[in-house]
Amino acid sequence: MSSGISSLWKHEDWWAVWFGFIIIGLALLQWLPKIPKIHKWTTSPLDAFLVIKDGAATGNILLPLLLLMIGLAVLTAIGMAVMKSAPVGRYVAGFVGIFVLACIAYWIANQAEIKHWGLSYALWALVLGLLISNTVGTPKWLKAGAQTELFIKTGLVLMGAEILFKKILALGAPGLMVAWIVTPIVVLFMWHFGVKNLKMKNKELVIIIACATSVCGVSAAIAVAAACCARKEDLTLAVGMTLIFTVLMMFFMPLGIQWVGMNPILGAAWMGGTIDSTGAVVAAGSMLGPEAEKVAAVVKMIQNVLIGVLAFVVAIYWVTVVQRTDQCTRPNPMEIWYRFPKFVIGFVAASLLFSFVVVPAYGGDFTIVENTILNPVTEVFRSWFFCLAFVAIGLESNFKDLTSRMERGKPMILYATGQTFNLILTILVAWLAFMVLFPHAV
Amino acid sequence: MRLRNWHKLVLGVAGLFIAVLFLSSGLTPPGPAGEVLRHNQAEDIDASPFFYGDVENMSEYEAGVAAMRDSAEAAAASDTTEKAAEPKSDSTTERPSPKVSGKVCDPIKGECL
Repeated sequence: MSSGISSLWKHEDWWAVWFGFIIIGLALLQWLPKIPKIHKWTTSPLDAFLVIKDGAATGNILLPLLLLMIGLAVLTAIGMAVMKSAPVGRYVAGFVGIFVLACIAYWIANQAEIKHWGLSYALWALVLGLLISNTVGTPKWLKAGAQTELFIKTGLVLMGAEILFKKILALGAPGLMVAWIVTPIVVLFMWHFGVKNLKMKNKELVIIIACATSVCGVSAAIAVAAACCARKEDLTLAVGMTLIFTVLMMFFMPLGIQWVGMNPILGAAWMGGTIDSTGAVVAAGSMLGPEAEKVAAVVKMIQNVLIGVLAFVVAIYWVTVVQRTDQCTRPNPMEIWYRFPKFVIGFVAASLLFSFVVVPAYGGDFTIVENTILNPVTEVFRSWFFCLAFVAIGLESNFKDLTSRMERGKPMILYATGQTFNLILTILVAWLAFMVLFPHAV
Repeated sequence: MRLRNWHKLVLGVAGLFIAVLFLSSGLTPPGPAGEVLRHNQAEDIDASPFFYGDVENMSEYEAGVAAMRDSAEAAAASDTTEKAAEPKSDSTTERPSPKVSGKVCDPIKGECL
């Protein structure tokens, strides 16, 4: 690992910060054209690539997609060239292959019926990558483009811009109680259970599963995995588990709530605090009525904001406690700084910039910032980087490694126990918050 | 060996194609297990976003919750004002208990028996 000032241009973490802030800067200056997204389609697969206005196709996104691919390839290749981590020509060839696979993943995920199932692009990107790596094997030229860490970290810096701290007050005290009191307790419980009771050796996997279960599934898993420098297989395992359980919880939790005749707002808060992904929370909440749908979505949103705090705390804990225990040395402050994943600084800085500078500069109006900067630019770029990352993870993972990390089913036991604890604690706190302490909050 | 691997890839792609075809067909599990899915189809709900920033109408949900909180606050405030405006009971004078659809009501506690 390079140290000193040269790490600013030799270290991947710093490049993720530079890439993220270049995109954020261009978005703030509104110098970027519309970033293409693969559209939703129903029966005709080609609709995904058409621009449709007033029911008629007015063009296609093939050229913008090509330009996006070139733009991202050039931007990231500059970093690769300076870091000298891979020959630029080979990297660009591999990047093109990965970008094409990412487009296919998006194209599958954006089919209207598949969206109803709650199966996101992350799953399809992983499946495509795993399919290649576990059959014919990932070709060397494709592997050169699989810069997983760089893609994830750049995506996370961009995600930081979307984490607006003032949003935690959207539902007042009861929302905060459900989202911010339960979550850290569940993380601590699962960490303790995984390390002390189950005696899992893979601590990175324990913390990833704990955060994915208690915060917000895939996005928390990505952030925490990067913060503790986990292996790709750990992330694949945690994301796979969380995606399966999210669909199951989305299917059965609202039915259970209706069956017992629970108050819809209480049920919504319960689901918002426990179902892992926001889309599934919205779908499950909608089963209980329009008001419950809104409450469930907002509880989840408040919980989402915790990602930044968690990533920061996990990064600090890892460099000061976990790595110290592993290596039996007490690191000095400089060593802690060298080991600290620097992209976390970019992640937190982007969040602080948008929360306390950009939004106030727009008169405190979240909607303007979201509609002009976040939704059309940073969110689209972030999703592209994550999609590229998941393709790369799939290409670099193999089933043998995945099964070897199962430790006789311990990750599953950890997830099941942690989620059960999460369900019990969340319903208790939600009842206390929404029914007893603040019954007239909404 | 390499040919066998290519066979595996072709089989895998075929499997993926069948899975995508099934999921995109609109078929739902029978009974209660498919209820949420049918609801998602009827309301066209996108259940796939994993982060709140990916939910298209998130700002509408926030505005909706803000409106709910405002009306709850207003209701609570008017409740307090009504209670404050209620005439205090005089323990020395007997008040007739009003009848609501055949029930005898206590005007002070607001309870009907």
